[in-house]
Amino acid sequence: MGCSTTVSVNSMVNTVPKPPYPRPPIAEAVFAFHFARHLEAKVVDKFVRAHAKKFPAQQEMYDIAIDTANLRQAPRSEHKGFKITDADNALVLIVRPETISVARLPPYTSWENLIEEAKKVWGSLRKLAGAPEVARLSARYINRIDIRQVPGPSAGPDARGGIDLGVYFRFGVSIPPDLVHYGMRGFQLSCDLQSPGDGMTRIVQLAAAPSPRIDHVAFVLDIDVATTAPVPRRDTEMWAMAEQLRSAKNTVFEACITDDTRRLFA
Amino acid sequence: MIRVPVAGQGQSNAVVQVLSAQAVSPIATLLERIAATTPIPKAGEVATDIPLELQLFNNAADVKILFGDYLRHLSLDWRPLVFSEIDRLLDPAAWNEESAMIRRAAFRTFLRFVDHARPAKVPSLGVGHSGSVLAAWIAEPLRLFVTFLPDDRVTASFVSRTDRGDEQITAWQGPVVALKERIAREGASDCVGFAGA
Repeated sequence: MGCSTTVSVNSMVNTVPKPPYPRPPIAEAVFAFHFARHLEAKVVDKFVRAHAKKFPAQQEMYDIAIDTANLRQAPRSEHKGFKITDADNALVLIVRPETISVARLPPYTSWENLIEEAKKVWGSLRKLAGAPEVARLSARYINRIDIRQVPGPSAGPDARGGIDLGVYFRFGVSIPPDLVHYGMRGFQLSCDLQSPGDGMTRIVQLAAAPSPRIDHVAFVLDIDVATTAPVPRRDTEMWAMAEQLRSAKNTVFEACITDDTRRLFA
Repeated sequence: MIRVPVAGQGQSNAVVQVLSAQAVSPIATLLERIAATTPIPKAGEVATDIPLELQLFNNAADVKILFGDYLRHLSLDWRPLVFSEIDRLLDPAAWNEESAMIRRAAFRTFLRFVDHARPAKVPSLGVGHSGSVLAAWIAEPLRLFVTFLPDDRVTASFVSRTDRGDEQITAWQGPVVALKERIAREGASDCVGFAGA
């Protein structure tokens, strides 16, 4: 009996969770339609008004233009759409003439749930504006991975040493031996991966960031995949293309992390 | 020319954020000037030019989104219970002149404690005059009242009874990271439901 207990405990410790993870590190998941031609302002307004019940918090968005050559000139502002939030504060739509983004904040449930919301947005937009031509689709997943780091007694409050990135990430920076004794306070890495063969772009970014958790350091793994091939006009084919984004972003995520990282999501 | 996206209620309470890494000092100064001329209500205060309902909604949304940062590290029952407390505290129908908005930085301190110390019991929540978060755990004869302040600071009052039945209060203040140990030292682990208590 003692033996079987030991085996059970060890197997729990060594188990590497597989996707879908019980506690995925997703801080924000965004699916976006990028239109070939800008939506008319009245369509944007109508769309936002039509969603006032489900998305009661509606904020206008502005671009502010600053002439750097003449800083004494007052900045000019231009209305550029809306950010609308649902009553649970977990679903956000950014509605601009050039794009509509469907953003899911925690609690993240699933890709299916995100796409379901995107389909509702598309259905609603079709009613208001026919079927606007979509130039590309994109999916962006911002993952925040908190890794425990207890600072040593002599470490300063900003100390970042002590975490071997290679243990957690297969995508990252390499510090030359001559420089490794300098404590690394932060880094940011961006990689644009193109593959003409599958008609998709993948932008992968990894950065260190302050963690909201006590005694932890956060690493933000930001994966942005987008289509480059023409987006089909038929809905079923368009949504099939969206599924390819899912597969692509999952492949990138799994390629970038290690089993030690996966254990954090159990 | 740098274009800076801004989200806000019209432009009256716009929050300016520099997204360009190329921002240089004069531009940053200019943005600060823009931000300085756009009134943002201070913590705990109610602005007069924005409808109260909208301010309360935004305050609730802000702290609920902040809660999302910790969501996956907490047990599932915390979200509905804490959200229900937030909705109660920021209910426009129950708002009066003594009420105050929840200060984001204070709520963050509360969440950092919950994530770090893992109390099993969800406390009753309140809001102090300055927007601090008040939490009460009660397991008679012990009562624990904690005020969560910005910047990881907390004050705690431990209320218990002596052997003779008199009420005694021990007050403590310090960093949030030390609160768990202080609770254990005061014999109040049961009160908050620490594992193994």
